[in-house]
This record gives sequence, C-alpha cells and structure tokens, in this order.
Amino acid sequence: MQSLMLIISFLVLISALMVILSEDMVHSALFLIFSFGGVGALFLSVGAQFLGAIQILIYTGAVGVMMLLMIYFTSKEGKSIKREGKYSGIVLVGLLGFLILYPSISITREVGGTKGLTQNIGRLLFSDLLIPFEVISIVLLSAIIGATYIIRREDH
Amino acid sequence: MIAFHFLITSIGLVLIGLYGVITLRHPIKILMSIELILNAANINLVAFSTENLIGQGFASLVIAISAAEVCVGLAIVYNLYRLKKDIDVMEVNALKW
Amino acid sequence: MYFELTPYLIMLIVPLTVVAIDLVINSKRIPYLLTIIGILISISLFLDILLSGTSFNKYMISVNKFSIYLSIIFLIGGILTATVSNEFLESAHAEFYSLLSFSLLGMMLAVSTKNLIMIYIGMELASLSLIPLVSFFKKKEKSTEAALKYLILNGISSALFIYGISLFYVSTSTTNLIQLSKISLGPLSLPALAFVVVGIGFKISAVPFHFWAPDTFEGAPTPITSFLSSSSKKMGFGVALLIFPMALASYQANWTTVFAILAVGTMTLGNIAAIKQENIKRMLAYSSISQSGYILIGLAVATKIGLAGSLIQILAHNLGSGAAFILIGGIALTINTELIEEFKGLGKSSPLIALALTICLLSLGGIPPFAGFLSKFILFLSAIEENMLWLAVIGIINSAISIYYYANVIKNMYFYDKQIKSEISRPFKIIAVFAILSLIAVGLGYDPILELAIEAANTLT
Repeated sequence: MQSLMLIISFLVLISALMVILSEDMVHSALFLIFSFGGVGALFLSVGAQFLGAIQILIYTGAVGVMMLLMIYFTSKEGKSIKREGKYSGIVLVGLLGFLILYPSISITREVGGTKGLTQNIGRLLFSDLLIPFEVISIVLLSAIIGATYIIRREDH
Repeated sequence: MIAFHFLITSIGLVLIGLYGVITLRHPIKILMSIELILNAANINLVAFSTENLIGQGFASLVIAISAAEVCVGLAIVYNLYRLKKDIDVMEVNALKW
Repeated sequence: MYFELTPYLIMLIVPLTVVAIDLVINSKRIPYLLTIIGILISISLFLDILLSGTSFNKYMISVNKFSIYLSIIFLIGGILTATVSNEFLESAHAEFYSLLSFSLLGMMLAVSTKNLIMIYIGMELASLSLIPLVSFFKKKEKSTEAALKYLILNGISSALFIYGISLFYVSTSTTNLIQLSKISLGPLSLPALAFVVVGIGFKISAVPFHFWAPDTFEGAPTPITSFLSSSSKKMGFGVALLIFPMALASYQANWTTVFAILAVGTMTLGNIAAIKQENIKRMLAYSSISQSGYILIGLAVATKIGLAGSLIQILAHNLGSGAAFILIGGIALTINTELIEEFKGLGKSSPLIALALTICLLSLGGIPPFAGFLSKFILFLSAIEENMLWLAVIGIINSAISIYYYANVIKNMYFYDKQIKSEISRPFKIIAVFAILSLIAVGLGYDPILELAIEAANTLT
C-alpha cells in the first residue's frame, strides 16, 4: 500500500512538472487532469472518501474540462509558449524549497484515519462550518453573475 | 515516515506551482499553476486532519472556491481573446515591474 | 439574540432582491436606490450595535468593536462608489450593484471572525465579486487587461495565503486564531509565516508585491478604482491586523521586522514613482501604495497605540482617497482626460469640486487640521515611543515628498487662468460636500473616533 502511494505521489509531481514544462497547451491540461486525479487517489489513501470523490468530480471533471474548453476556444496552432526568467525562477524556488523542506524533516505526525466518511463531513459542514458553507453558495452565485455578465454578447 | 511523504508531495507541488507562476506568461497556464498550489494546500489540509475533521471540511470549501475562481478567470480570458482576436498578444507580465 | 447578524443579512438580501427585481423590471434607478438604502440601513444597524455595546461570538462569526469599525469603513467606501456609479454605467445596472453588495458582504465577513477559514472565504467572496467589476467595461481592452492582472495576482495571493494556513494546520490542527495563539507552531513556523505575509502583501500591495496595483487601478472603471483603494485594500489590512497581533504574538519579533522593512519600502517607492506620473489616476494609485506604507508602520510597532494609529489611518485614507478617485472620475467625465495638466482652471469653473479635491489631497499629505494629519501624528508618535525613531523620520520625509506632488495638482487647479467647460452632475457634488465635512470632522472632532479605534485595537491583542 505504502509503495503504491509513493508511486502515485511521484506521478503527481512528474505530471505537475509536465504541466509547467510542456510546450503544448492541450498536453499541459491533460497532465493537469492527471495530477488532479493522483491527488484524489492520495486523499482516498488517507481515508478521506468524500474529499477523494469531490476532488475527482470537481477538479478532473469540471475544472479540467473547463480548461480544455478554453484552450480550444482561444489557442492557435504552432505558437510556442513563452517563458521568462527560467534560471532566476529556479534559484528563487530552490531557496524557498530549502526554507520549507529543512524544517519539515522533523515533522513526525501520523496521517490518515477513517474519519473522512461522507456522513462525518456532512455533519461537520452543517454544524461547525455552517456559516462558511452557506457563504460558499453566495461565492458561487456571485461568480455565476460575474462570469455570465462578462461572457454575454450584447449585440442584440 | 508516512507523514513526511505527504508533506514532501505537497511541498513539491507548491514549488512547481510557484515556478510556473514566476516563469510562465500565458494566463491559462498561470491559472493552472495556481490550481497546483491550491492542490498542495489541500493535500496538507486533508492528510493532517487526524485530530479533527476541520481540515477536510475546509478542503472541500477550497475546492468549491477554486472552481468558482477558474470560472471567472476563464470568462475574462475569453473576453480578452474576443477583444484582441489573437492569443499571442495575450501575454501577461503579471510578475514584472 | 442574533441581532448582531442583521447588518450582514441586509447586505445579503439587498443584492438578491436587486437581481430578482431585474428579472421583472429593467430599471436604472431601482438597483441604485436599493443598494444605497441597504448600505445606509446596514451602517445604522452597526452603529446601533456599537451603542448598545453587545458582541457576538458563535458559528465562526465574531462581531466586536474591531469588526464593526472596519465594516463601517468598508460600507462608507461602498456608498461612495454606489452614489456615483450610475453616471458611468450604460447597461447591466443590476449586475453591477449586486456584485458590489456581495463584495461588501465578503469584506465584512473577512474581518468579523476569529477563524482562518472564514477569513479566507470572506476574502475570496470579496475579490471574486470585484474581478468582474474591474472588467465591467467589457468592450474596453484596458479594463479587461486590468481585470486579468487583478485576477491572476489575486489568485496567486490567496493560493499562497491558504498554503500558509495549511502549514499552520499541519503543526497545530486548528484554524482558530485564539487557539493558534496558545499552541507553538513548531519547526514549520518560519515558512508558514512567510507564505501568509507574502499572500497578504499582494492584497495590500506592499512594495515588492505592488506592481499589479497601478495598472489595475488605472484600467478599472473609476468608481471601482475608488472602491479598490478605499475598501478592498483595507480588507487586506484588516486581515493582517486580525492575524498577526493575536494569533502570532509569540513570533512578534519576526514579523515586526518584516513589516518595518515593508513599510519603509512601500512608502518610499510609492512616493518616488508618484512624482513623475502625468495621469492623475495613476498618480493617486501610486500615492495609495505609499499610504499603505503608513498603515504598515502601525503593524511594525505593534503596540496598542500603534494599532489604533493604523486603524485611524485606514479611516483617513478610506475617506481621502475614495473621495479623491471619485471626484477625479467626475472631472474626467466632463473634460474627457485624466492628465494633470488639463486640470488648469478648474478652481474657477467648478469651485466646490476643486475645493473638495484640494482637501482630500491635503488630508492625504498629512496637513492639519484634516484627518490624515491625526493618523500620521499618532503613527509617528507610536513609532518614537517604541524606539523606532528611524521609522518615524522616514515617514515624515515621505510625507514631505508626497506634499510636493499633491501641491502640483492643487497649483494646476488654482493658479492658471484657463476656461474649461465643466458641468459636474449632482452625485459628485454630494460626494464633494461629504468629503469636505467628514475629513474636517475626523480631523477636529477626533475624540470619539480615537476612543473607538483604541477600543478596537484592544480587542486585537
């Protein structure tokens, strides 16, 4: 089980790297979807069933398809992706990586458990997280209003 | 040991996402990098919710919000494309000054 | 029992009603009036709660003096924007006003809590409603580009912020600020702090992370620019004031140094860049950056009086820059340009607007007896008390620099004889009167406001 999880994490990281490095937009979107799916599998491995399910539904489903759709709408063939500051980026990210990785070696907490059942999450969302959960519906509503206004054609 | 493994995955994702945000110029690709960082945060929130479930509840809210963010973002990208009719000029120098 | 939640409910009911009515009647006036009435009711309910002295702390919502103080500031920014917006809009009034109200609700929620989850969701509600507003003139390339930049920088900032929160959660298993202050963060404290500071730094456009602000402020519709400067930015400061002094008190030595450096950089670079601007909207955008630097002084000092100074500077900048942007928008509507040179002769042709703009700029520059002087005085005093004389000296030098470019605008308005036609409509005159009265009132009758700010700062630690 643990070696399987190690392989999945490795694949998640590799495909995330390919999202950034790939020259083709469609390829990076597909790698992104693959990476999302891998993260979903990691969620399932720590017993978070609900999170694993909505990760796959919303991220690989909704977000991934939306990205692909937009790429088909807006991109042209044969244009390469421009990239700037490759080396300074590596230096900056490397420094930051050292800053986080070095202290995190000493974290010795256990992960996992079987608490992430849908029932428990549902109870939590309607007790402790009640107001944030309701505010999410307002966030989605305002995003719908905003996005439809921007996309709408007003020719007629 | 297993905790470290999840932390490493999340740190790796956040570093890759940051590298993308710093170096890439295409708005859709920057949005993808932002999604990678959000996924990294979600791995932390879900994997380490052993004492209470708050982390998992929070992660589910983050997933909903990031879907909304992508929705608005793609609407704006599409509108800009409609105005300019060319993806090549649609580069953002977001992190330049 | 739940009376303290009514102002929030009003700001939820108003946009829903606006959208629902728009399905039946397509009107310009109804969304406008409903929004203004809703905001006024909300402000008066907040004042009522303040006078009755009650507080609320349940379900992750915490209504206290601090949250009421900042919420009223956001609502004032919202009402300044809402009053004049009909002059700029051609269509889609209902969408505009409902998004504005949603954004206000998000800002109010982000500061009315003691939990990082609610802070994050409130900030996202505020900024996701603001992004479509920034690109509201969707036929204009500049507006859409500004929105794209705002969207991306906002996305990066909240992603980094939430990664910081997740690192807090890894080390402490809690997102509650009061519990966080009692538990040691362990080895991950430094990276977690770094992520949160960078995330908030983008929101408040502190200097290494400020580059999005001038472009976004310039490209956005002018009432929304005013809203961005007067309310949206203040939300970032509200969140910083909530998180740092309370939850991270044990790491104070670390973050006060960071904020001191950020304050110096933000003040200085903002001012230097503002000097050479010819477009007044862009100049005010840079001046808004430098004004954020003064607010950061309070966080760098982190004493009660320093935090109170920050809160008063938030109020002074909210009134001054919010009104200044709107007045400039009104002038630009009639003379069709935003260049400072074209403002010549304005003092004669529309004296009220010119006077109000002058007072706004003087207040921003920190000239007595206006509101900006009071806040800067308290901030510099608190820095000197804490043996940070150098910070106060840099602040005073920067104030002097800022007066130079504000005076340039005033000189252009008053000391040239040039006839320009300007028929500025009534909403702008209302804003002008409001700006003059409120800036003088805060500057002179400061006792109750000072008291309220100190009490609000008391709830933070």
